[in-house]
Amino acid sequence: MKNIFSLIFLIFISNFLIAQDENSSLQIQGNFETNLQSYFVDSSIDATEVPERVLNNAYLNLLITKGNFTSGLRYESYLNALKGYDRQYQGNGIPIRFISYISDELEVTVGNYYEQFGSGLILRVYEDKGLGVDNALDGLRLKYSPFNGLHLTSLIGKSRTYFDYSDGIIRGADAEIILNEIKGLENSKMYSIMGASFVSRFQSDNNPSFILPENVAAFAARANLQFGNINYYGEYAHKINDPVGSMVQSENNYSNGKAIVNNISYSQKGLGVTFESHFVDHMEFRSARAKKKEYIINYIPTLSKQHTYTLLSLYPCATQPEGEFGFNSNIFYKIPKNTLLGGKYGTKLNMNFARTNSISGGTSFLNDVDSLTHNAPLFKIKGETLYFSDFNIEIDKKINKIIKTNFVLSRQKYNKDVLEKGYESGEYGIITSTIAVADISYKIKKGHTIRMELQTLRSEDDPNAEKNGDGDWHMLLAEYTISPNWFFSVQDMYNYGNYDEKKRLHYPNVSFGYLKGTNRFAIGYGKKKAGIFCVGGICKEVPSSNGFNLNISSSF
Amino acid sequence: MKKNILYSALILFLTIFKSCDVIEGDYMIDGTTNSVDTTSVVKRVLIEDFTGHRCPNCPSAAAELEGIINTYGDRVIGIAIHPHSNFSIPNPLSSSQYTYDFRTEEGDNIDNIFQMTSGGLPVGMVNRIGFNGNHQLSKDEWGEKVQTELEKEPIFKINLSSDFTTSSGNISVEVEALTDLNNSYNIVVCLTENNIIEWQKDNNIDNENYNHKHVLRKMLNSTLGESIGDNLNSGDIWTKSFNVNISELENQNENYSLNTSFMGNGNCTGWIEDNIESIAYIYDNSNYEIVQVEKIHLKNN
Repeated sequence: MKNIFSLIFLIFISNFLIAQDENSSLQIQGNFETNLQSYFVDSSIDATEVPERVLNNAYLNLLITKGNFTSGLRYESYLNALKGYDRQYQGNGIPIRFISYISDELEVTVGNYYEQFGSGLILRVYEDKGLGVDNALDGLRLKYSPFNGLHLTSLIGKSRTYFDYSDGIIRGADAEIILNEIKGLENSKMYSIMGASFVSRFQSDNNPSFILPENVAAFAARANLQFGNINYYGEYAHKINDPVGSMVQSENNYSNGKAIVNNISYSQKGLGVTFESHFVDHMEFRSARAKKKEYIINYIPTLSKQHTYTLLSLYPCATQPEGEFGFNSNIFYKIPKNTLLGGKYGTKLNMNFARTNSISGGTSFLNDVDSLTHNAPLFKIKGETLYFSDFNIEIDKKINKIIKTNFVLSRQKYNKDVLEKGYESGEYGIITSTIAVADISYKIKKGHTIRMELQTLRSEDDPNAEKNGDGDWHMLLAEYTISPNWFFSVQDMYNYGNYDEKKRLHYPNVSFGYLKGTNRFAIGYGKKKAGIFCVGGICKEVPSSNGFNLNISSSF
Repeated sequence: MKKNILYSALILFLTIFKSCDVIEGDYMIDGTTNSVDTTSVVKRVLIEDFTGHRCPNCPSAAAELEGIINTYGDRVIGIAIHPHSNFSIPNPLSSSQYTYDFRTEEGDNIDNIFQMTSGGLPVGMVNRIGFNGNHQLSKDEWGEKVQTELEKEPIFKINLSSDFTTSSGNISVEVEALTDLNNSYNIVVCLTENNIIEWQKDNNIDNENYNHKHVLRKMLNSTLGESIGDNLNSGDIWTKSFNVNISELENQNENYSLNTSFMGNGNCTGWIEDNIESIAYIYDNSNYEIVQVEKIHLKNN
């Protein structure tokens, strides 16, 4: 029924827009994507088939714009959802539809919208298809700019969970002042942006055993200052008591949550230095009380380099919003052209060191039982459990017009128990890996390029752990591109150093694709290893699979 | 300009109503166990807790179930289902840990219908409400859903009686419609067992002496049960008697473990009759929603 309303709504809006007798033209834009995957049984990698044989995820975005009016919708189809996606994504629907218009300084949106306040510590409404995350709010949002430099946002809505909404009602407001846009301050040497935000969730309390807060608020204040080559961003967020609503006393934590973010960077020609840090404690904010990943509506930015090479991201850092302290530092340097080390084109270097650890005594806790009460102290490294560390050097070197190279050497420590299960079980402990990557691309002739990736990972297990990790890996990738239309790719991951001889397996993947205009077709076959897939510190488990996949995307 | 600022202040004000409830202990409300009026028919609620002996977070869900039962007394009935998953596979009998096979054919069937293990354990259903899409509830959601369900009027009365003494006997079920009903309904009669002392992973502890409660043992009239009719009128009665022979039922589970279950080892017997309860629940065929549930001890007499 909801879908019929959405269609009627769209037809109505289209007619309305077409009927507008204005000079601005009507624009229709959109994009489409479908991912089909077949699943075969492969007991060697624990891959199972599915009763449907093939699964398919598809969506289409449609955006209609005329002058100050914008309207859009998204059709989603999960028949049935690919493995690795929650089975609650099932069937077809139009979960996203909205109308928005701008009138002078006021922007009004009704329907679904995405929004982020500051760095997202108290509100980040976003979607990521790869992660299966979509917490779009449905309601209304007003953006208002009464004078240059002041930007106000206020919103109210319910958060999407799959094809439904969670129970809570979310209200929020954000004010941002860009001082240099204010009359008289345009020429200030310091570029500064100040912001403050507020988000509150309402959910009724029908728990007969505990007094639960029905209105849970979170506040944040932020400042971004740029002076010469130096850029500072700081944000502090605070969340009031937000117990999960359990019937068991030890599960209901009435402690406040907090997050402190401090980032500083320096840049000049050929040199950049960045240092980011945060302390977070009991700061997962959800659209309903219960602890479920689909309810999360805030975001703690990850403190690790976002690697794209497969073996470098085999053990990715997952942010722990309930408690972690860490930092991420980078030095970027370009060795100038026409020097001994720089060569004809210069050489880009990036040195990165990231580290996160537990907060002392774990997440702060407060309820009637005094013995459970605990306040985590700020900024402690010594004696804390390591969650993740990564020290790596990347060298990006163009040798001549034909050959380009990129080399990465990395040493990572990964607390598999905490980052995958959320607590120290002693099962795997900390897995240490040393990874080397060489990426070489060679231009054969105009339009023809071959690219090779050679990757290797040497793993050391935690001597105190009960179980072994996956051991050592090699990976090889060869990619041939005939621009602008064709690409072919072959890759193999080989778990040659698995402690279990039966698991010393190859994971081959082949794919080829055709691109023309805005259309892209890709067909592949391969074995995929079960693992963790992360985007910006938000992770999901991906099961192993063996099968064909077909991906088609286009835009209009 | 002034007018603009006034407007913007108004917009902000509209969003920041009284939206902050700071609670300052005591957080717990004293003496909240609901007393049950035994003279009239009450609505009871079924919680199905999907669990596994190797699931480290599952004991917290079992504790939640006990917390809810403590609060609402016998108005809430629990069943712990150990469906096939990585968390429930038993070790071979030669191992010293986790050798018990808690899985049952009907538990696996329910999981196939409701896809409970697909998103990880623990997870549960409260009266199976929200099917299909919102029925998979995390333990923190059970309490509030129970409260909502308890506020509904009962539409059936279930009377259970048992003449079971040792090793076999009969459970008699009598159902009475309390109002005129348009939909069609099924009844399921099953056995659960309390106080099975076996291994359980509890966070990072391997607990050898964990008390497994409400463990589903057998459904006496198949996974989806049988019809009690449609278009029932107020006062309509449905009755049936179910024969229970413990060793026969044990054999059925043993066969399933040995012949069907992945890595089943047949170690699923040793049922203790004194700890067995019989549960009967009625659900609406149109949406699987459980509308009434009742239980008795197998050795009721």
